[in-house]
Amino acid sequence: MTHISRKIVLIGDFSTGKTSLIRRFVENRFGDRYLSTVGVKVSKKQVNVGETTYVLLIWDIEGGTAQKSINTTYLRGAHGAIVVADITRNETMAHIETYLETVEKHVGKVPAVIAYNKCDLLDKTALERFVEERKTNVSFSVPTHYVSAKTGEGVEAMFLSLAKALGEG
Amino acid sequence: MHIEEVFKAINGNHKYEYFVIDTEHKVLEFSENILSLYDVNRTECDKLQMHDIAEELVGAEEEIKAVFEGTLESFSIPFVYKKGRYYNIGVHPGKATKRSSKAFKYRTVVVLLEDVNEIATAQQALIQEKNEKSLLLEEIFEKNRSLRKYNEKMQEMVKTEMARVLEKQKMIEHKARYIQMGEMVSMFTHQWKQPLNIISIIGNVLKMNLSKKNTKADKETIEKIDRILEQVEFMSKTITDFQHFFRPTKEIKPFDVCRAIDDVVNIVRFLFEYHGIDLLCKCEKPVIEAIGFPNEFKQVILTLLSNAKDACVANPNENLKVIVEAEEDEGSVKVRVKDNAGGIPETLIDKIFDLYVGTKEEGSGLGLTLAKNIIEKNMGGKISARNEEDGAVFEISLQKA
Repeated sequence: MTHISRKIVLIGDFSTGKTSLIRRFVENRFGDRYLSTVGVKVSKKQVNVGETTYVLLIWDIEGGTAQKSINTTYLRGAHGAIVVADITRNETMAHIETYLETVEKHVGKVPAVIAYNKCDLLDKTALERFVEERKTNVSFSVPTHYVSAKTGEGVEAMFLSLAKALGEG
Repeated sequence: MHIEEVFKAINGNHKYEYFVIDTEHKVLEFSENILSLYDVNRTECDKLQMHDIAEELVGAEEEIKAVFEGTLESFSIPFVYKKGRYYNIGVHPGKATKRSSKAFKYRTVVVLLEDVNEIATAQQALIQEKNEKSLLLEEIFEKNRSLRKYNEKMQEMVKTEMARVLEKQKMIEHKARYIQMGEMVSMFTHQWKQPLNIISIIGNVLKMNLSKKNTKADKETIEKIDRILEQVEFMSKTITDFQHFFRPTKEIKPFDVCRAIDDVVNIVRFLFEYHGIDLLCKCEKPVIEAIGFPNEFKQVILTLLSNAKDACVANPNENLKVIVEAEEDEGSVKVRVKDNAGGIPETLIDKIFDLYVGTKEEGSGLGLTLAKNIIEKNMGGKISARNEEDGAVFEISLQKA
């Protein structure tokens, strides 16, 4: 059994739920209170992909705002990225492409996924309509996940799929 | 920046922790609190590697190598949150190698964790406040957008509803005029039928008296009386037709389309003759039955014939002709009113059934809208218009009885 450390960065606009997604994945907890992240916090979690154990070093990076983009120093040496958007805020979704470009510019072509967070805020029909609408109108070259840090829906699967992609890369 | 300068820069104002690594990333020495900061057991100290303690430096191997080589002065990772406090992690050159020919300019590199908790906490409070305000603004903006959208939708609905009410009002006015005319015709019928009956009786008595004498002069008079009686009979029938025409049908029922067309044609024939227009009625069979409201159907035929007559008058030619055709077609009955008056202008043909759209300057633009409502909404049929050869064709399709 080999242990490999891999750095994953979570980026996106402020208040999209990056910290909550990490807390759900690492500690299986969720808190409703919004507390802005400053700088970065690195969390650690082991995942098994086949015969390999990956130690995921998950970087929770301060979210970007209209006035201030993310600090790209934190992206240095990242092996994978998760771009997080809030499914209820159009503006956060409009910036997904810019974040993907930022990752590619600073760390090259590494495995990445898009996380549409806060899916629990849409009812089933609205979510289905949203997914269909995104499929028709928006096309990204990276996998897309519809997740909820609150309910845990899709969170584990998203991190595991990225870990698997890190192994393939 | 060299480590000694870094320490000077810190100037004793900040707390800091550090560890020193060699070119193999083995930890050579460290400050006391590093162990607790990175959860390292004291027994592991001898064989500590950089990555065992500082996971923040995973992925930064290239930069660390560059610091050893002297090609990168230093680098830092700002505001790293660890164990409830914020640190700036800086990677700086340590001791220089003795011989300059070596690949590395420095034998050691110092990783410095500067405690910047106060600044970071203050910044966190500012960011928190700013982000909460931004979220609030976004929410207000979104609500405004929804309100604007809702408002636009409401305005559109009001506009549509107003148009619908206006249309309905015009229809009601139109129908009311029909009803008033119906009442007038009823009174007129009542007033006229009696004298016509008396004329008819007197004529017949005169005929009977003259028949007894049977002279040549009397025979001529009887022939003239017969012509008077024919005219009286025609007037009586016309009055009855008028009376039926204005009486609304209460329920949908099978009716003879050919008969209904004949009734209307009889009413308008004189008008067509007056304008020199040939009015032809071509029914495929003597009786063609459809389902609907017969009197309302007659109103539609009257509107179409009246429009065709007006079009002929406005566009005169030597051979003015209006044809009314009726035929059965599988499950439906087709009725067509054709003229040879040049057709409907192309700009109007697609909206000819719309309210207030018409080809006549003095027209109300209601007739064809009402006709469409009667045929399509009340009788479940279809009505369409097209240009063909030298005139317009209106086609009605009704369910066969």
